[in-house]
Amino acid sequence: MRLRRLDLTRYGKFTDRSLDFGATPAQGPDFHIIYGPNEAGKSTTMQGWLDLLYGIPTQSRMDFLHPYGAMQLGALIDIGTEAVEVIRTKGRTGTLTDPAGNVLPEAVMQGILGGIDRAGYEAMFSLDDETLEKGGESILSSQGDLGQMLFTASSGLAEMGQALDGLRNTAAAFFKPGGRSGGLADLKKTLAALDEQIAAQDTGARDFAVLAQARDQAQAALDAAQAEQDDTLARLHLVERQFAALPLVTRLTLIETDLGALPELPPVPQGWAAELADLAREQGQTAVRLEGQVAQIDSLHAEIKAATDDPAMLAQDAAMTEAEALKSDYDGAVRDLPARRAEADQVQARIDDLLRQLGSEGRDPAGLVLPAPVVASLRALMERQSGVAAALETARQEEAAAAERLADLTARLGGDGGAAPDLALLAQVAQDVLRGDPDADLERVRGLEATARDRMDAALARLLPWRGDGAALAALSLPEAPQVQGWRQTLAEAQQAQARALADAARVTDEAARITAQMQAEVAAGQVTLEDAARVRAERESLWSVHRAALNAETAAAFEAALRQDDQVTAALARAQTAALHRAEAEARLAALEIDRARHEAEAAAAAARMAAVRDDLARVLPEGLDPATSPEALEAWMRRREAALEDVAGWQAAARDLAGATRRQASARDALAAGLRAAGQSVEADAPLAVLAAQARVVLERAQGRAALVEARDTAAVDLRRRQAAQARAAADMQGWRDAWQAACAPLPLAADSPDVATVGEVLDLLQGLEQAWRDLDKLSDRIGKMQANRAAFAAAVAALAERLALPEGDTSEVWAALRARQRAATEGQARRLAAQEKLTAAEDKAQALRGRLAETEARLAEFCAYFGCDDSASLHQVVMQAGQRQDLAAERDRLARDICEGMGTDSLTEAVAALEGLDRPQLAAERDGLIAAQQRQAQALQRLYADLSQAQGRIEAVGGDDAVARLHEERQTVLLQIEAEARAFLRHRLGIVAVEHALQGYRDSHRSAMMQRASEAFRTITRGDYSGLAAQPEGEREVLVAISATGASKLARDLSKGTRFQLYLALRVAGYHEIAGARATVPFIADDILETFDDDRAAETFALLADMAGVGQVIYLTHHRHLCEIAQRICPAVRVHALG
Amino acid sequence: MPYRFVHTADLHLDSPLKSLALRDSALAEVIGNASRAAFARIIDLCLEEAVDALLIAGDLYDGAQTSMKTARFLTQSLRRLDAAGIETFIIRGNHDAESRITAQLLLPASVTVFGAQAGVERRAKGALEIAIHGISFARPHAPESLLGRFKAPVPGAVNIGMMHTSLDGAAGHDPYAPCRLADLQASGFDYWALGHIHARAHHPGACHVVMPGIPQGRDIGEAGGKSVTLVTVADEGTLSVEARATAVARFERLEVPLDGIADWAGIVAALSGALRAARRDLAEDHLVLRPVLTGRTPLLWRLRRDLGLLLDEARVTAEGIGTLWIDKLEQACTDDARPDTAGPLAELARQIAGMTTPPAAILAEADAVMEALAKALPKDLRGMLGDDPATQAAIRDALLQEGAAEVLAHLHGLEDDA
Repeated sequence: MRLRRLDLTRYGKFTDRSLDFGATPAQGPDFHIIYGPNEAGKSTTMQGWLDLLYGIPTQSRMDFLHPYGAMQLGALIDIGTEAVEVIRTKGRTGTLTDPAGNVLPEAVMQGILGGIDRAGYEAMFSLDDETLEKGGESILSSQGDLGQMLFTASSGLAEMGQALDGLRNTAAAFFKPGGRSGGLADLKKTLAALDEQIAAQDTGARDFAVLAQARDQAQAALDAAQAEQDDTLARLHLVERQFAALPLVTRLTLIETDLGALPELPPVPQGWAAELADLAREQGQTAVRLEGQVAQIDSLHAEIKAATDDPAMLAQDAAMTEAEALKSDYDGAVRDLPARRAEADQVQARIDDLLRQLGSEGRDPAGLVLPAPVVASLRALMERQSGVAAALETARQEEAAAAERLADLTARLGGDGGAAPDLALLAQVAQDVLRGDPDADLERVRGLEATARDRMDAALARLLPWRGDGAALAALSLPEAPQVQGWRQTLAEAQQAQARALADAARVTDEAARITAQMQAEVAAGQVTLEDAARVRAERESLWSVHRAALNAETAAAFEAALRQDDQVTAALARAQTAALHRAEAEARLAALEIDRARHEAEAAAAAARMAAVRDDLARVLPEGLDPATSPEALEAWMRRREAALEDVAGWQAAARDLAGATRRQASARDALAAGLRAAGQSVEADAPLAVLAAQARVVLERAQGRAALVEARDTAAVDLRRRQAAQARAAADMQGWRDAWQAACAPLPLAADSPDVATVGEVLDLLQGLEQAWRDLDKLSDRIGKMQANRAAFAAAVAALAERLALPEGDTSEVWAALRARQRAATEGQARRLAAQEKLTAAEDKAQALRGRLAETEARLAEFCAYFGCDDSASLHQVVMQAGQRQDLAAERDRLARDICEGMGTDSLTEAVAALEGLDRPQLAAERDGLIAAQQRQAQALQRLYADLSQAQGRIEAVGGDDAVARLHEERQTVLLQIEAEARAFLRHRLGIVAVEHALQGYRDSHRSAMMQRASEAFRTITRGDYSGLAAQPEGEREVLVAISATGASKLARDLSKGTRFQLYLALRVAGYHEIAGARATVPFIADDILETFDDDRAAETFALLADMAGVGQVIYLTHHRHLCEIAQRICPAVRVHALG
Repeated sequence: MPYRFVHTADLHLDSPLKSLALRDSALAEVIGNASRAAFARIIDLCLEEAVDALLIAGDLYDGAQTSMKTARFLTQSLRRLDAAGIETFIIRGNHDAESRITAQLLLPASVTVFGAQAGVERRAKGALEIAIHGISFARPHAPESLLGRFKAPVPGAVNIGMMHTSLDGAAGHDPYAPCRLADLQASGFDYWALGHIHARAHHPGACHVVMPGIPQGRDIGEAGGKSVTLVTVADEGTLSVEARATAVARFERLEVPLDGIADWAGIVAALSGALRAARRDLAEDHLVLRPVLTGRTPLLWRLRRDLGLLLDEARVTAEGIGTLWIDKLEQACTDDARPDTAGPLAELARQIAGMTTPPAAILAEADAVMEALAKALPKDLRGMLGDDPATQAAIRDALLQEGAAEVLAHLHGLEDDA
């Protein structure tokens, strides 16, 4: 099957793109190269071809331009002599159609492909860098195993070795004979651990039986001991009851005797005994308390009679209280009056002294005291006086200073205040001209122009041998840069082509020489003809007949000699035939080499011609003066230097223009300044330089500035003087105003002078203030003395009135008052004592009455008791009641003892119990009881021990439990066993599977080795360019490995080859594999994707030769983005067809 | 007043479940020791239904079972019935006769264990007369029929016979007290409470012959629903028989047809769909399933190579469902013939397929591998590679073919990845 045309209708970046591979060539290889730069769509094309054959995948990435629904591919496919046109769209079903749109079943395509699926196609019929690399590695992983390498090469499954190793490793990870680790060992450890746990936790039937028996024995022992202890306890209880009953019987007898000794009496009613005692005590106590009350009543009567009684005094209580209130003021007046009177005398003396100082002796101070506002206005005027006087003095001084300053400035101006000439124009001109500094600018521009001229001269010098100025240079006519570049490229390519052709010719010549030499060497072998051989064979046959008939030593020797000669002749004949065959092959090869040599030489000549043509074209366009043999590279360099020189010429022209401008600017500046000076009235030298004019202008302008400043200062001083004169007048007016006010204010003062000074008035004011104070103090003292005298008189009157009412004798007020107070106290106390005694008397009489009532009740109850027992007094009553109580107690004790005895002995009647105790005695019983107690204690201890034994035995059985712990462990163990079984089976499947596949690979090797080895060997020799003469198989242990035979005849194991050589070996094997497959089935197009990128040109050429060879069997398509590879391919195989893409 | 009883057999208490699904510790936790859980359910059933008696027709536990914990669990469970006034009747089966823990059992008073001599227990309930007959196995084997040794049916009573028997030879079972169904039906008994065979069988008629089967399946060989029998004897003496489910976990094979599925995702979807359907259809609390992949698929090579991945997918689905677990995956698909018959891979496959009588060198190498492994295996598994040379050879040849197919599947995978 081959591809005649591929339509990338709407697929990836392509729209309506077609690649036409044409019909099968009638002769020669069906070899195609698809050339396109990167991103031209080579991979897309290959993908498109496979998608056409096998359908566009659901998740295709070729939908970036045309959406899934629109994607379409088409092809015209040759099958034998027929051609089929198919179209593939994207979808789920029915995606394969004919051009008319009829759906074609996928089986049609399957038939065309001979059953190869997509994966198989990619593995067997395509090759790229990556596969090549993996293939090289697979040679290592196969360890040179011949079968595996042949299979890998024809199936394209480069990673087969790694896959088999992976499976081997998986198996080894589970189990390796002799190994101690791995999956199996781990699982066995788990199993052992589980077995240990089970053994530790489980209890088996046999162990359980032992435990049960121990428990039963303990139970029996415990039961026996319990029975024994029960007997002991029963006997002990009986003995203890008898022991307790014996003393009770003795006491019963004694009580019976006591009862008989007591008289018969009526029973004491309930509670009487206690009541009798209470009554006796009550009677005694009540009588004593009554006696006490009577005595107290008598003493209270006496107390009332003895207390004082003064009603007249008591009636004056209110008057006494009033007099008491006046008493303290009276006391104060008596104490303070003399001191106050002395104080008043002192104040009067001070007033008299002050009046004398004021010169007003004998006058009433009240007439002298000044009103407060008069004093205040005098004091204010005194304070202002100093301020007004100082202000007037300062104003006078400042006016004098201002007048002096004005006089000084006027003198300095010399009286000339006239106007100066107007210098504004000069100032403006000088500023404009001097700002630019035209002199410095001119100097700088001149320097730049000189530099530019030097550079231009140097650039023109670099163009030698060409001579001329800038204008001539600009006018030159020269070829365009791309044209020169084209000549350069053509020349370089032609040179390379020539060198390659010459080298090829030399190589071909060498090989021809080598083959010729080999042929000459082989000619030396001996010559044997077929006739010779027939003759020797006939002789051998006849001697065999003789020997067979005779069968003796002689005939045997003759036959042996003939046999040996025949062998030699046969061998020589075979050698000769082989040599002849070699010779014929060599001659054929020589003829082919001669053709190659001629072709290479013709190619060299053609290259030389192309170079000469280019040189002629170049010479024609060179500028005058340049060497006619100038190369394109040199011309390109000269043209670059010319461009630089032209730039420098332009630079100098610009600098020259700048210099002219600067010179002009300097001249016009000088003219302007001279005009300005003249306008300001200055004389100007005709040829003075710009610098001199500038200095002259600066001097004129500075002088004018100094004079203007002086005039301004004089005007300021005149204004100041006028302001100072006004201030001095204001201060004088203030002073006069103060004097008038002072005169008026001093008028009311008691003074002789008309206009007193400030100090005198101050002193008078102070004296008047002291007089006012003293006069007020005297007034207050006179008032207090009057009030004290009134207080003293009021108290004395009150006391005298009281004494009169109570008829007391008259006397000193204080003494009478003391007698009044003593009498009042005695009257009040007597009244209080009498009232308290009266109250107590009433209470005491009430109590005495109550006690008499209670005494009568007690005596009545005692009389009742006496009547019951028939006795006449309370003394005998007590005796009788005591005896009756004793009798009653004894009877009760007797009944209780009888009951205890019956209970203790377990009988109903006392008689029976007493009979049972007959003949027993206590010491004997005590001895028996002690023995029994000791025995019981021993038994109790034994019982405790046996009970513990039983509990322990039962505990052991309980501990076995009914839980499922052990069952779960068994289950876990079962699961581990299942896991081991499953993994062991997987292990065996892998191991035995690999054994089977390895064996099958040997079979594959045996059926394919001869053809594949021969082809691979040739391909390897070609591709290594004779470094290796071929490949051979070599036994190694039970298998065969591939070895490479080097040119020197040494053999090298595949794994010892360099990496690059391994790639070549893999490629050689793939070539052989392709031919092997092609022999077994119809081929499909073989696609190689730029596998030669890392190859040098020679190796690439040899590889193309192999691909061309493959193309003789089936269609081969090579994808590349290297143009030189296209050329190499075209050289090696002129029939190749290059299809440009993009 | 009717007389009611539950009939079970083959409890095999504490006999472990056998499934790789139990590698999942979560499953081991919930259904571990399911034999006990199933028995507990039987006891619960007796209590809920307030029956008069529980009949256990042999094989309380495995013969090799020696743990007294098992026996104690049995007695603890029977005490619950005793406390509720429900009687228990037991005959010993072949496994019980073997077991050493049998002798140590201390059973409650309400439990009757029949001896090796025929015994009859008579009970009256209302107007009903019930006679329960039973004979225990004295030794692990009973090659002769026990039927002739039973006492004659009691006239006027409902006669129930308890017997441990393989009947007339069930497949996979040695003969244990064999007897013919027809003989049982003609024996004059009203109900035969049988045990020994682990699959349920009920032969109705004038005389009901019932084999209740094991109440909890232990591996995929005991797949399907498991139950006990609840029998009601009506006042007039007629019997009604019903099955009651008991299993905590059900083992089941699940066929997953893959015909017409062209990609791996389709296979995963078919498998997970089948698992969900199974969970919907089956009522047991837990399902332990063994999906069996069948049908014709072009992805057979992928199944051979990636069965482990598919098992993981199945486990993920099962984990999502929660109460469903995967025992293992069984692959029983057939392949379309490879369309490319001329390629090197096809040639290699033909070579292997043609190896029906493999060369001696291969056999020797395979035997050596197997022998080395057999030596390293734990004692319990030594038999997995065959006990006699003929079996061993058959296993070896099968492994060679299976293994080669699996290795080729890996190579096929390389081509696909290329």
